Order: sequence, then C-alpha cells, then structure tokens
Amino acid sequence: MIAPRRRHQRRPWAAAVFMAAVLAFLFAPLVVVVAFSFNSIPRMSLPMAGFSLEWYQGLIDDPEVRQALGRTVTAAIITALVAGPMGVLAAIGLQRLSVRVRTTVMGVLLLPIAVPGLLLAIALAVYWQGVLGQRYSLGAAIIGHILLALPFVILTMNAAVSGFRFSLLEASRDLGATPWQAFRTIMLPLIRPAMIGSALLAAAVSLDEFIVTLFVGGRETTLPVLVWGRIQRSVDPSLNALATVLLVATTILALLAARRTSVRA
Amino acid sequence: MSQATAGGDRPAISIERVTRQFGDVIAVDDISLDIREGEFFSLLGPSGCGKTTTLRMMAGFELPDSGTIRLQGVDVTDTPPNRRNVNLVFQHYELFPHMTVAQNVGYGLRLRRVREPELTERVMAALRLVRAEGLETRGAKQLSGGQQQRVALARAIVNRPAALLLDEPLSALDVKLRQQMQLELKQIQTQLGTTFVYVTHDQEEALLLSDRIGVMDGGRLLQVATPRELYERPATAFVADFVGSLDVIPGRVLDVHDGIALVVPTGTAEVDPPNARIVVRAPDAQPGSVVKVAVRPERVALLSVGAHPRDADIWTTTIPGRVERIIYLGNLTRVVTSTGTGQMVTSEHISDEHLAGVTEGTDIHVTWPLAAGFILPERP
Repeated sequence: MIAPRRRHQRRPWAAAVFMAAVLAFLFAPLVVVVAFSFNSIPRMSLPMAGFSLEWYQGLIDDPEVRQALGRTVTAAIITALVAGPMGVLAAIGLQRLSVRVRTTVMGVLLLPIAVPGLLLAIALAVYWQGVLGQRYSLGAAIIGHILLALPFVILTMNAAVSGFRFSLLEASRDLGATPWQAFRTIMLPLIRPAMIGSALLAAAVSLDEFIVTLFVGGRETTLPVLVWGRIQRSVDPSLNALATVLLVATTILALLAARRTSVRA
Repeated sequence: MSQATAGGDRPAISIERVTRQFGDVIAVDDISLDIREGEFFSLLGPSGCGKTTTLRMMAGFELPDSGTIRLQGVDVTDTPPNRRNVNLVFQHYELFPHMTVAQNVGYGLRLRRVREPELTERVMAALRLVRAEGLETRGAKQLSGGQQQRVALARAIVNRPAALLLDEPLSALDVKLRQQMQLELKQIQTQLGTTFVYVTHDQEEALLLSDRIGVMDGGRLLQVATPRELYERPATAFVADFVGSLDVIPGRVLDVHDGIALVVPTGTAEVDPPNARIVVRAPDAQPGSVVKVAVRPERVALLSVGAHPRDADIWTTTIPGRVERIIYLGNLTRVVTSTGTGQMVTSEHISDEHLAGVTEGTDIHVTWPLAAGFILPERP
C-alpha cells in the first residue's frame, strides 16, 4: 500500500514542469498579443520599446472599427436574447419526454457542436441566397450565431432544469396558481441564474464567431471578420489591441456565465 | 365494504366508482367512498396500493379514467387543482426554497388577492396554530425537518380548505418527533374541525389518528371502518394481517353447536386430540370443513402443563406446544411457541414475573378465551 504512493511522489517536479509546458503552450501566444498591443513602436519584435495606449486610441478613432464593434455587440445581444429563451423552453420541453426519446432529441439538438463550422457556414450561405434568395447581411449572420449558440444554451439549461423539483409546481398549483403563475412565481426565479448564465454564454459564442459571419455577413463585417480582413494586408499592433479587446470581452462573459451556471439553487 | 353516510349529511368528499390506470397497471380499481364532513379519515395500505393516487385524484393532479369525484356535493372530476378548494400537504413538503416562511405561507392568499393587513394576520395565525411562530423571516432552506413540516401544514390550512389532504406527511421525521407531531396534528384537526384525509402505510399511525380508516390493497378498497372495528372485525384476511399482527392456525371443524365450532388444528393426529382444541365462533361453519382460525398475539396466554386444565372452562382454546424463542422487547415480551403440528404461535405478554417459569424449550399450552379468536374471512 505504501510503495505505490511513494512512487507517485518521487518526481513531483516532473508533473509541475509538464503542467507549466502545457500552460505556456496555451497562453504564450495570448501573452504576446496582449503585450505588443501596449508597445509604443509598430514593430513586433523584442525588445519592446515602451508602454503606450496609442493603438487603442487608434481603434477608437477608426470609424470602420467603431461600426464593426457596433455590429458585433448588436449580434451578441440579439443572440443572447433569442438563443437564451429558446434554450430554456427546449430544456423544459425535454423534461416532458421519456428518457429514451429525450436522449435522442438531445443528441440531435447538440449536433451543431459536432458539425464543422465550415459546413454550417456553407449550408447557411446556400440556403440564404440560393433557396431564400436573400442578400447576405448581419441578420443572416445572427441567425447563424443563434444556431451555433443554441446547443450550449440547451446543455446548460438542461442541467439546471433537470435539477429543478417539478413537484414545487404542483405545490404552487395546489395553492391556487394557474400553470403560468406557477411558472412565473416558482420556476422562473429558481432557474433565473442559469438562464442569465446561458444567455451570457450565447453572447460569448456570438462575439468571436468568424466563419459563418464571413460567409453570410456580406459587407456588414463584425470585429473578427474585420481583423481577418486587415491581417491580409499587414500586421500592425492595432490588430493586437483589437484582439485584446475581444479576448477580454469573451473572457469576462465566459467567467460571468460560469459563475451563474455553476451555483445552483 | 361499509359505506355508511350519516342520514342526510352531505359528504365532504364523495368518490364514486373511480378507476385510474397507468399503462397496464390498475392503480385504483373501481373505488367508491364517502368522507364525512369534519372527520379524520385515513387511507391505509402498503406502498403501491393506490392510496396516494386516490389522494392525488382528490387534489386534481390525476384525472380518473372513469368515475366521479365530488367535493361538498359539487362534481370536480375534471377541475384543475388550482380551482379545487382542497389543499395537499406533500410528503416532502415542497416548500418554495426562494421564499421566506411567511412568503411560503402567504403564497395561496396572495394568489387569492387577500390584502394587508388581513394577509399578515392570517399568516401569523396559521403559524401560531402549528406552533411555528418566530420563523416567519427564516428562509425555507434554513428549517429543520420538523419545522418544514409545520410550515407546510400552515401553508395549506391558511387557505381554509374544505378538506386537507395529507400524503404521508410524517414519514420523513424521526420516531420521537413523529409521535409528537401525530398528537399535534390530531389536536389541530379537532381545533379547526376541517376534514382531514390522511394517507399512510403505518397502521399504528392510522389507528391512533383516525375517526375512520379505509384499507387499500392492489388498487381496491377492502374495508372502511373505525379503528376498533378494523382491528376486531377485519373484513378480509389482508386487513386482519395488515392492521396489527396475527396468528393464523389452519384447522378442521369437528362439530358446530349454537354457532360455536370445535376445531382441531390440521394434522393433529400426532398429538393427544383432547389437548389440542380450538373453540371459535363460526356460525357458518360446517363439520368437516377447513378453516383458518386467527387470534391477536396479545390475546394469547401461556399456561404451564402442570396447571392444565380440568378446571379450564370448555370455551377456552388450548393447544399444547413447546417454547421456541423468547424475544424481550422492554415493556413487552414476545414468545414464539411451536405447536405439536409444527405451527408457530406468537404471543405477547407484559414483561413481568408471570413469565419467570417460561424458558426456551419448556413444554407449555397456548390458550385464549372464546372472545379472542375469529375465523379468517375467505376473501383475500
């Protein structure tokens, strides 16, 4: 009993080194991007010259960036507002199904996670222009974002809803509540944290979505597409600043979402 | 089944030929039952007997496949739960976790648009009645089991329902607390005068609390009777066995005289016949027929072999046997005696000096008076 334990502890530094290597691999590119966004000269090599916010100032002064930012935020908000409630309803509906049917339906609903984004983008593009004959627009991109965000919302809400005691609704009905009153006064307050969390998650998905937006967004570019377009021409620290803004925004949304969804009433 | 309704009195709840099926399983099988205004009525039976389904149909959470449910004379068979003037106390209380105790109790009143100050007054009165005053600002999740029970009760009675339905409300509590709550529940019911319909699998609890008890098994209502009738004159073998414990001795009728039968235990050939004789009231018995004689363990006495029996009157049952096991239960001592035919007879005695001579292996007679024994009904 003692020998294996000793063997585990023999080289604790090996595990630490491995862990550090993994973290470095994951985060080194991010560190580089963020660091150079504060560099005072437009050259991305060491040593760094000095600290400066000029690239961020440049972003604010750039009308193209401001416009793209506006579209990105619009898309994120609409995605959250549509995918959130849809996911909640889907999760509640799933609870009414038998376990076998539920598992199947759940699998189908989560399919967009497994399908490559490129495939979805092509399908959406073909459908939008070929079948519906519509022009590519931000609206089309937002529909794509909702599609991509829905599985995540359903997944989070399903966890929250399956932990909900439906017998509480019976107690509420017994005390005189209509089905809607029971939902509004009992279920809604109890699943609200998870609802807000999953809406934030949907916003985070929308915020850095690229492929679908590129395919069906037309000229109404969002920030990720704008960055991509500019990288084609030249790489300059203003892109670093833009990437840093996106990084911070998605991280904050993801953290907020995680806090909401992990703490369950 | 007896279904007496006091003349002209409108029953609080009337169930008429109600059946409810889940898939292939018949949960409730053609039940008819009248629950009187103001009575404490219990539905008693093992798990899966259909008692909870019956209660849920009264509350409106299950709809009967056929039959009618009336509440104070009004047909509510298809009325949704929120429009029935009955309230249910759930087995697991189902307090709303995001509300305080006062909000929980006031929930039904707020839905009925009861305004302040009446709202608070009624909430406080209900909490006082269940002795949960002082908890009103507490969160529902900060309560002990007993407190949750009281609050759940207050949340139901505050609405002044025509009948209060209780689904094994005490089953989650420990023994001491359960006994205390039983007394309080009975007291509250007496004080309010509200009809209580109480579902339980605990026969002791049912006997203790109820004015009348309906015993259910396999979806059917076997007997409706007062606790005393149920215990002393069970309508079926199941009722006899489920309510209290029972010794059953199969035997053959030798002779019937004035409605009293002389029965010998089956297979008595090996023992001295005059020593093994059962005397039991059996007006319908025919000589030669096979019967099951039943007796409650607390009615069985033990008689040492030497003392027996010239002077014992001819109406006394006596069966020779040997003490197999003695089980000490504190106030009671349970003695298991094997009769000459291999039948086990359990008897219960006050633990006192009279049992001093009884040890395992002793030859002994089990005996009971004429009034104690009865023929077990043939119906299951």
